Amino acid sequence: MAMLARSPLYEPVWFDPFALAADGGGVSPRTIILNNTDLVVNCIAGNPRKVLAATKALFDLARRTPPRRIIHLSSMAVYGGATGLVDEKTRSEPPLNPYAKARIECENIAREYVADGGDAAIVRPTCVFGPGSDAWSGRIARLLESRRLGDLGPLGDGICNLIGVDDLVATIMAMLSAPDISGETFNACADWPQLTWNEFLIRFARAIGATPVQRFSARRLRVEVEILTPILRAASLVAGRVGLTSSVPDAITPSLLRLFRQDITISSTKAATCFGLAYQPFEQAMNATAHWWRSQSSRPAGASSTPIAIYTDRGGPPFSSHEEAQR
Amino acid sequence: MIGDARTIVHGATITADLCIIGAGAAGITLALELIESGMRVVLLEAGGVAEDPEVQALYTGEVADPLLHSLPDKYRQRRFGGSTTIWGGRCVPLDPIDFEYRSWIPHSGWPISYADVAAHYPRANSLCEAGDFAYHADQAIPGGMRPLLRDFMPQDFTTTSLERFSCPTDFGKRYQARLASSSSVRVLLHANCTQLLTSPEGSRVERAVVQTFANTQFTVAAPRFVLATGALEATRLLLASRDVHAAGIGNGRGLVGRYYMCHIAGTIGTLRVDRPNDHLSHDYQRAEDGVYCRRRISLTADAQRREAVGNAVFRLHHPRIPDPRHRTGALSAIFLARRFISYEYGKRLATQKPPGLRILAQHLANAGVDVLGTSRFLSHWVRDRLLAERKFPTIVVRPRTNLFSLDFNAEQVPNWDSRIRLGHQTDRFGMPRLHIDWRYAETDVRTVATAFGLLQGEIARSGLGELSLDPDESDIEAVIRRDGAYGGHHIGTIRMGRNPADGVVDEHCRVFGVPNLYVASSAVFPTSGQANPTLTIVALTIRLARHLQAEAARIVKIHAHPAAPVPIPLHKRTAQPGLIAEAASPL
Repeated sequence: MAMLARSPLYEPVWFDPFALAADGGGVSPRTIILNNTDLVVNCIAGNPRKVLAATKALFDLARRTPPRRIIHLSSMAVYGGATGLVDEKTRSEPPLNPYAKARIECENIAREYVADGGDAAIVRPTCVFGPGSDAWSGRIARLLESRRLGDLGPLGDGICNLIGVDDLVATIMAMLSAPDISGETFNACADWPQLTWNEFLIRFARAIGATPVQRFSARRLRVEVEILTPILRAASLVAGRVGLTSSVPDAITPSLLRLFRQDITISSTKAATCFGLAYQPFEQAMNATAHWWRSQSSRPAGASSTPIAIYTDRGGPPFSSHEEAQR
Repeated sequence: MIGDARTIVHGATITADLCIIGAGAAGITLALELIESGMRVVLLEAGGVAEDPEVQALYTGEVADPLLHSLPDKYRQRRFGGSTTIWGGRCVPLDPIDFEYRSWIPHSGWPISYADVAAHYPRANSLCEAGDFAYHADQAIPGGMRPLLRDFMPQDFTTTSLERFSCPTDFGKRYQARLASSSSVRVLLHANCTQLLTSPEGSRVERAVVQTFANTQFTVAAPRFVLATGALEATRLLLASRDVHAAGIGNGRGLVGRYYMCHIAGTIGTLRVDRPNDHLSHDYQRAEDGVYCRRRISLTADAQRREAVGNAVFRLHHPRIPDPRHRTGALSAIFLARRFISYEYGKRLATQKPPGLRILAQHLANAGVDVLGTSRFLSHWVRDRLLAERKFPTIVVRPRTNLFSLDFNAEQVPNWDSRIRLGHQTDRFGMPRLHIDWRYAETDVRTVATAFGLLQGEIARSGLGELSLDPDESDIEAVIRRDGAYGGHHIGTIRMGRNPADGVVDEHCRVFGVPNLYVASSAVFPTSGQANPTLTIVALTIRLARHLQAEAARIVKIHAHPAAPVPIPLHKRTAQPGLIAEAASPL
């Protein structure tokens, strides 16, 4: 989001949509700010229930004072347990965890908004990798360094679908200015050489110096997920109440382990074709992420996951071509 | 998908684009490499997912000299994953010289070059889970590996070549989920292929006959077949398929089963190092990817040429375990626990006669006196071997006396008289059992003796210590006979050659005269080199997969452009009328 905010084309206004939901749709300083925005990028993440409530509040408000466009960030989680080559038309398949269900609901809210005459488009990022991305860079790095992730054997044979932070921003920027994409959905996944999660984890571990890479048995991972994870979640709840969230180690969730073995290949041909995107090379993204990680003075567990939406103000060229937006 | 052959209807015929026989390192690799090819693949495996004594008994047979060669049901497994279920995981590529014609080694020279195989080694390394294809001590670990023996710079040997270790990966367990989720590969367990049926003129294999313990029989029909059962069983199946070929398929010139090689391997000599402990490192180091790596002492190609000997390597090894004079508690504890060690590894602990009370007492005393060392070793073994998913590869114990022995692994040269043939007994499916007559040659003895002598000289000149033969090792041939054939390496019985007079299969591992039958196995190696065969088996199989894919694509292309005449061998157009249509049909 910081990268998005650095764009010379848009003046960002940072907003907490959870607070918007708490406003109950009434008039408040927040809604006044929203009333003055042209473009909205809804980057909300976090607790599924709150995400759903905040998204609903956002689109309800947008109905009253519609911005030119809302870009709604969804997730590849909406595909659930789908396997094989997956594009935007692929249906969700079980299992769907609460997060995935909430994401699907949010997408439906966005689509209803379009059906009601609003302008919105959906982007489904894969795992966002790069400097500043905690979920798929910082968290993974911490787990690798603490030797709680590594070579997962058969449990890491799933396909690792990544999108670089820069590339995701480029996609969003293109979506902000592209004409006639209202109601469209785009996957965001880099066209990097296909890697399994094992290959990615080993490469990332080597890049950040978390070596020698540990090999994990299914038994060890089962213990981690079935015993350690509930303890860590409970600890996280308690720590959250006393303001010590960052002191609790990351949990390896069942859904994370499921993803590591999911044979799913996300196609982002549609976005690449529509917007003429050129993704950064994988090695460049890996080096930048490793450099960022090594340069962190402190590596708090569970770094900020504050759900923030960016509402952009005084937009760039109205629905210009992508090339223009790039300039 | 993975199914059970016992559920196939008796008398049925299953069709596929490719039938692979044997789900070990080669068969599973081939299936994995073709999973996205669009080909419908049937992979037949005689065993189930677990060892079954009744199934394993189908491997029993005879050996000419049990002291020289293990019985044929040892060191190999008839089950999903094949012998990777018990292998040690040592991965080593062949050397360029191994592929060359060497005038001093009869029948040497592969019809393909090192580069042809080397192109596939990285992928093979990955499938074997041995990490990067980095087999040089300066490249495997950033900053290089610790020196084997500081200031030791021999002329005729290198100490920079490595062995890397797989987990060891049981290909069955490791890749089961991937095969199970595939819609193009159908694995059939409990499917005992007992015969290959050829066309009346014998130029094509048309069906594989499969029998089960449920007393059912069915066939698999396919335009192409790959024998991936391991050298012994592949040889047996070719020899036993005599419906049209009286001497067995591919055996028109009597080559099948001949030139049987293992490796000449064992433990020899005593190396005394007159340097402080920190000048020497014979232990494993872990690469960044977590793989265990270890240096070896390799005889250079120049020395092999000059001395007219085969390839050979030495590894610094702890003193001989059965001899309690090593005074090392951990080694004595291993000796005392030898009954609990699997056959494949316990064999090296065997003594010619049972140890007397005096020897046992000495071992007990060693373990007691060196209780700290013993405890350290045991905790390391439990943590890094028994409980670890990537296992510490072998026993490495720093002897208390700075005395080491040398493990050697030497090339065995092709020898016409060393052979596998069908015995007179049959198994429950009526298939003849094997008779193994493994023999070594004078060159094999000379390779070990020469390499040892050269190393002796190098050590003496370096002034770092002394390498000597033990009193009972003055006859090198006796040492070779003591350790016998290296049990798990079965090589050369279906050798690759330039023409049918020279080999059974061509450079694509295709049987001469039967162009739709391929062999993926160390049986095709014309020479054995010094390297453990698994990595090269996997690399050659990957190469075969590329060939099969290219061939299938070529056939589809021909079908797609029937008007454009393409110069292909006549038999492709006349003898395989169903092939084009079948390969081009929707899969």
